[in-house]
Amino acid sequence: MAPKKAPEIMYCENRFCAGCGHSIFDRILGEVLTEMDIVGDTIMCSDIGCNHQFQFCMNVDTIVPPHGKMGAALTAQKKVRPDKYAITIAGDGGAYAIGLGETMSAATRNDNVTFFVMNNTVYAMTGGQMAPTTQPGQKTASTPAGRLASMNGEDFDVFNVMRSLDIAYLARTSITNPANIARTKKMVRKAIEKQRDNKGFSLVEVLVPCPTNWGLSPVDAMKHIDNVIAPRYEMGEVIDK
Amino acid sequence: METMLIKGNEALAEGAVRGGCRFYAGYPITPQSEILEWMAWRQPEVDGTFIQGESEIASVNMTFAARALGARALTSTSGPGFSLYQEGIAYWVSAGMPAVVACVQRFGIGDGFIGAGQDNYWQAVKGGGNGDYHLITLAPNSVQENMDMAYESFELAEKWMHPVLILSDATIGQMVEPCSVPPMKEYDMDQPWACKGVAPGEDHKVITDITYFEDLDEWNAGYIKKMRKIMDEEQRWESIEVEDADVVLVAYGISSRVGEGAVREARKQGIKLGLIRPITLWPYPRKAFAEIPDTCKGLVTIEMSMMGQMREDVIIASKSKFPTYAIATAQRVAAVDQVIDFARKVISGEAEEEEVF
Repeated sequence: MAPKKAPEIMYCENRFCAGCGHSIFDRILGEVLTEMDIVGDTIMCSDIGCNHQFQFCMNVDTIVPPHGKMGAALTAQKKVRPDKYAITIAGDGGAYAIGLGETMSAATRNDNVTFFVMNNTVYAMTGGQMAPTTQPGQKTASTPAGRLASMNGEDFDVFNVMRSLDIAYLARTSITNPANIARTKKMVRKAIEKQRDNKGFSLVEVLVPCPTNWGLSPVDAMKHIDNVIAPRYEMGEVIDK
Repeated sequence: METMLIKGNEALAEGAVRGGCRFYAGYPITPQSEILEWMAWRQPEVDGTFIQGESEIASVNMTFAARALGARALTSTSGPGFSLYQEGIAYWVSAGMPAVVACVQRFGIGDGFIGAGQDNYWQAVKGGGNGDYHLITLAPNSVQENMDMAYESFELAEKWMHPVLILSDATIGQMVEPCSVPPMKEYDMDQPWACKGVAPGEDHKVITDITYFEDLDEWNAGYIKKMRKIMDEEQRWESIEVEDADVVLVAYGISSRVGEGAVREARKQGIKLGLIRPITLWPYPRKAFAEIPDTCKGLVTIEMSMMGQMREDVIIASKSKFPTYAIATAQRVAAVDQVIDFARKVISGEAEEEEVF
């Protein structure tokens, strides 16, 4: 079978590590933007971190505010150019730690913007330190003995804090196998359609592997999501208005 | 031209609107909240956007996003709010975004006080965020200048593709004066540099640190060349009776109005005072200091800080040719008598020249 050709928006090879989940997600988003024929109607808002490297391989207009401030920037984007899609690919540290205030404020305003949050359980670009999403007991560069609830609190679950909000769409997915990739692609499209239909705020969290910082092979990192991480969370759609 | 009797902060807001500002984001903080409140009704009236951000950090980054998409975008703040802006403003600089920020100075460190001050000088003029930059900094000393500087600020920022700071203070912001109101300017936000969605067959725009997409050494060289050119071409000042002065006062903003009063009063008393009023604080109007006569006995800043922050720029501008002093009045506006008394001491040799901090 001939490999499926990447859409034109993916204009060069990506810069991610082997087995990184970001590259898979970026390809999914590139396909959805292309299939919806909205590449030219989209202005991406980048986070700072591994996630931001989409800007070096995707031909889509992009702005890059400081780390985590996508909630604020997207809000302004959508007001200034309401005819353009305002979308971010965020990191879990950006969206849930340094930018949690901005993320929540955009959600509580039910701004008509779209968040895709890559949850790889660590700050990957800086060398794998603890993120809000780091798992209990998980060893990271800043939790050498493993994350302890007594020291670091419980891992962050976005469903717990957003479930009761008046927002358009909230979902969690992963990209660990073809079925999950297809499911993720549907959710990505749905989230963007919410914005198209002026429904309001949408957020899709994507569980993605970080083989480099997890110290696992790409295949084992995928298995780790399926066997260890995903079972700890509610998966799928919890808000769909 | 239309005339309004208007508060300084409102004049700044209206000047920006008439200069084409169609986006404002800000967070309430005294003594500048009238700018935000004016924009809350005025932006919808001109089909612009007003957002009350959830914080100063959100507001400064909303302003970045709006400017990146082409809109003439303003934000305003004071005191600790301006500290929170610094990261965001550094991003404006690195991306070459011609956004405008107004800081209506209040006195004090940290939370400080809500009354007037000029002790944001170092933060405003020396950079404020990380990396090599100064903002083009305008220092209004009247309600009219609040309006006029806001009116022209976007064109100035766009001329250099560099942010502009309007460094006002609580006194100028809160006072009411008659003001000539300029006509509305139209602005097309579909600028070639703005993000508006990639066109078929074209390369995308990424509004970020420009050096990510350009050779770093080449960009650095071009940036320094630009900054030197701004230094040379944008120095603005007002000189009053400097050519024969025995003492030259140096003051901006509200303190410059006291300085001007002191020059007029001292001249009546036969004391030869002069005033250099920097209108741009960066670039600092060094050219103004060339006309100071060799016979001058000293240069005296008048400023509402404790440390005499501007004195170091006076020393640089005058190349240490004259003794320098600061009448540093902290939370109080200087009095004309106080300035003349000090000038007398400079002339008589009684004034002690202290080291700069």
